[in-house]
Amino acid sequence: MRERDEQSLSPWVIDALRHPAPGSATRSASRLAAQRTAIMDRVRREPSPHVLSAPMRASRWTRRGLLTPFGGMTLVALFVAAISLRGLDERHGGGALETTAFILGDSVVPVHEGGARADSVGERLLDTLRIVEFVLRGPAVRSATVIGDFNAWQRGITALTRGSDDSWRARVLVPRDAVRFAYVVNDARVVNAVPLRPARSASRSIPDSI
Amino acid sequence: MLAGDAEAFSLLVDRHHARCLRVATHLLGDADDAEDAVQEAFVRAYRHLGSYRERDRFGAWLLRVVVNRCRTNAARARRWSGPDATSIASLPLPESLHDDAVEAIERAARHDELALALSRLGAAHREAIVLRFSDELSYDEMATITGVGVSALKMRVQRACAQLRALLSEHLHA
Repeated sequence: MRERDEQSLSPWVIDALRHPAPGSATRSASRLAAQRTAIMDRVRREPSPHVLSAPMRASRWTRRGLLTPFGGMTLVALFVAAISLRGLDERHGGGALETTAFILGDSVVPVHEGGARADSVGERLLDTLRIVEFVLRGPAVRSATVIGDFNAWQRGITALTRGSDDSWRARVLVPRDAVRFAYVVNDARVVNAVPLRPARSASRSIPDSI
Repeated sequence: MLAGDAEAFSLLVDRHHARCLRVATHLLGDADDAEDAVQEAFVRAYRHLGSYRERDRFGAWLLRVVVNRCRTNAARARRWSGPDATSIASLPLPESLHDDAVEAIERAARHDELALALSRLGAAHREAIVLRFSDELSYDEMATITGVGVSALKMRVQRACAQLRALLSEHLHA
């Protein structure tokens, strides 16, 4: 490539470009030495250059106020606040939660389960319960249970299990008159669910302010 | 070196000064301006040694500083004019000259012709042709120094060669 470039210019042009101009050549040795001396004189008056990759000295941090007592306390306070906010957020299940309750249908079940004699009337009593699927979606959910009239609002009885799509689900048989439910998220946050209505399904988004 | 040892830096000044001065002279077209630019470039290079990475060639890094300094000085001065074409013709020629003296005058005249032609090139073309031929850099090195792509530099060199050829032949015929 260089040869092709060179072919396009006269040899004397290339020669003139490669060598210093005659004017500067004639004053070479002593003049160039004087120039170099002048450069070094200016360089010696300059402060020593610092290496950008070197860590900042503690004195500079101090000058910036981060190592002073007030600066240190401010840093620690900010750190603790960040950790607390994160923990709070996790305990409360993070941002918005979406709850859904599907009424899948009815199921006929015995009223008593082994409590009565086999030939008793009670053994033959049947009841019709609703099969309801509770679904919960939301970030940072580590555990979820559903509470309501059907389990006497006791936590830990009806747990939701995590599905493959990051939703938490539980199918529960509930009496027809049980309409009020709530979810307990991460054993801390209680999210009121939409009351079941005769409709086929119900869902709502719960803002994280609850 | 990066600790800022001025004496070590003086070795680099000795080693690269002439080369930087040659490039700056071709770029600026004036020896005095070139001296100023090179001196400023060396001082700036020393000041910013912290930004020099040892994996780079120091010469290429320094040349980048010089080229940038020349660009800045040329833009600031806005007085790029090149040598006066009439000065060549008005050179007083003694009656009797030794061969060496005649050759020196001819060489000086050619340098002036070349400087005049270079001055008529655009700044980008002048920079490309000077780096290519004056410092014999590869296109990759030129790209590192100028921040321009290799293909663009090749195009600039080709165009600059064509323009320079035309300018020199025009001047010689004139």
